[in-house]
Amino acid sequence: MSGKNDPAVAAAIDDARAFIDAILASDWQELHISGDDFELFLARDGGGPNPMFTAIDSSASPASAATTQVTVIAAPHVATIAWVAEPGTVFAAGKPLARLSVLDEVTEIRASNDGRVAGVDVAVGELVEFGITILQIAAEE
Amino acid sequence: MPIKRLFVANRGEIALRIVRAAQALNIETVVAVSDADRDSAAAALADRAIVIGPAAAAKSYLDPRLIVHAARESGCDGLHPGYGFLSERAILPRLCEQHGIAFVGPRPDVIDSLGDKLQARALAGAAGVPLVPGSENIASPADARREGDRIGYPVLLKAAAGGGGRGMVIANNGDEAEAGFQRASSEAQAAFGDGTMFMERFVPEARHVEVQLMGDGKGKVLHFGERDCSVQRRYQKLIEEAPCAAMSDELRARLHQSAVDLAASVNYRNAGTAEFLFDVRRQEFYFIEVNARIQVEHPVSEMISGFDLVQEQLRIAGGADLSVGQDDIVLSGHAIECRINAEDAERDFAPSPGRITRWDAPSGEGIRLDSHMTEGAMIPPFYDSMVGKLIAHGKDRAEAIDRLVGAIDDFVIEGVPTTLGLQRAIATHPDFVANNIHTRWLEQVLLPRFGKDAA
Repeated sequence: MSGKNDPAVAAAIDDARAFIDAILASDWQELHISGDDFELFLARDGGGPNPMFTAIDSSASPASAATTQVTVIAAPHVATIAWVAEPGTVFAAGKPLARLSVLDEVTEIRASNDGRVAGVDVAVGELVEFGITILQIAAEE
Repeated sequence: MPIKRLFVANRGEIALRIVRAAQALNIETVVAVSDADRDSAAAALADRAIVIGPAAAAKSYLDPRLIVHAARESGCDGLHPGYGFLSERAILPRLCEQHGIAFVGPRPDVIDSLGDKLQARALAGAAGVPLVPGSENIASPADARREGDRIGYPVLLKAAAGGGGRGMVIANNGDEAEAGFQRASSEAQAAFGDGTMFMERFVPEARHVEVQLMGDGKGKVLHFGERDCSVQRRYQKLIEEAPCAAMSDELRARLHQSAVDLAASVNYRNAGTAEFLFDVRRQEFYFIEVNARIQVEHPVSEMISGFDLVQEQLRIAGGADLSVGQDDIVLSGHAIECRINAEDAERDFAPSPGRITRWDAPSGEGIRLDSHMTEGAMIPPFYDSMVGKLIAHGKDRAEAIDRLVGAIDDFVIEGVPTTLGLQRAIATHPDFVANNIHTRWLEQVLLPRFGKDAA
């Protein structure tokens, strides 16, 4: 960072230092912050996997189950399920897996890779909260 | 129709405060939480909590569509926005109106017009509310002297095209006004290509006073007295009290009337606060702005009036008339609130999130604590760092200060640094005890020595 003599930059560095100190002083194993235009992940040794490397869809927050290569697609925010793919559906990258409605607007969750729907955890019309599993997908072999 | 199920679109102590007020009125509650607030005290106490989005406020508490969708789909017929976040964004009441949800606050058009500083000033002027005396554009040194003489010194000369403090000059007399105009105008000409100046009365030692208002939306407005919030750091209030002990009864009556007139002129609905600059030396007050929501410091008004303002908000939003008349609101004693933040005084008050390892809260006569914290609770790093508000009420200001200091001494918070020590230093400072303070007192007098006088 340039301009260390600039009070604003110095204050920002102090803030960053205080922030890291606070994390180190806590008993947190990991920290994941996402904002409109940034994302930050901090983990201790033994902390969880970096979600920024495992994302399937930029708006979803999946977590992978190691042995079966089944990936979970979770709700990126509270929404009502307008449509969801049937179990067993084979899909190509870019195809919609679910449609979520918020008030009168519908958005799609699209597949980032080819695959197959291994399980569906929600019903059409259901209100899902952030982080709730919508469906599980298996990579196409 | 009275609200049956209320959606609480906020977090922290105010979410908990709103849930409790709703429960006292037998209203069901649904609380919106971010991923970081799943285990919050408000979520635990409410009938239901809905995780609306991730920890980042922009994707949770600040998304009006997610808020209103969750409210509608959970069957809520009312929505309380709390303070901060979306509380003064007209989009929230607009969406509520579209989806049949009663918004606990003013109408969206009123939020819009009061939220615009120029419009708010114009509304205040039209309602006969005093504004900071000022001039039209000034084009010459002779104009500057004439306007300064008329307004009364000291005055602040500002560039009409300016901003960021450039081209601003304080003048204490006519000669300084002329010289200041020459200098500031040529500076403004160089910086902005426009040397036009204007002038405002400068109040070197002002107090911040504000009037708590409640309107029925049909033109009837009540006040619950004024608050004095002059202890500030970087324009953030640290201590608030009611009433303003530095004001005469005659001036106080005029202050209340001005605030009520302004709110009545826009048929103000629900709770709001009119803020004023109080020039103690001249015994005059000038309008600053209206906060169209319940404020952090509302408890001091509750303590001296005996009314629960949040319950009153919920009744009005449910279509009820104001439950009392102005004569029924009798103010008694003195109340002081201090905001306790998880901040590190040794690091220039940097927010210090973390886990509370010990929380031993004070209690006693006249002591109230509004907090969502308990032992073991986590202060997430994503939001403001306030952990609670400690309020003391006494028969007069001296007793309120005594009780506040006693409660601060009894309060044990471990695990994170807090501003309790600073609050104690303020509450026991001779200037504060003598009520000889102003809005820059903390930064000019106390803070430069804070932590250095320890014996």
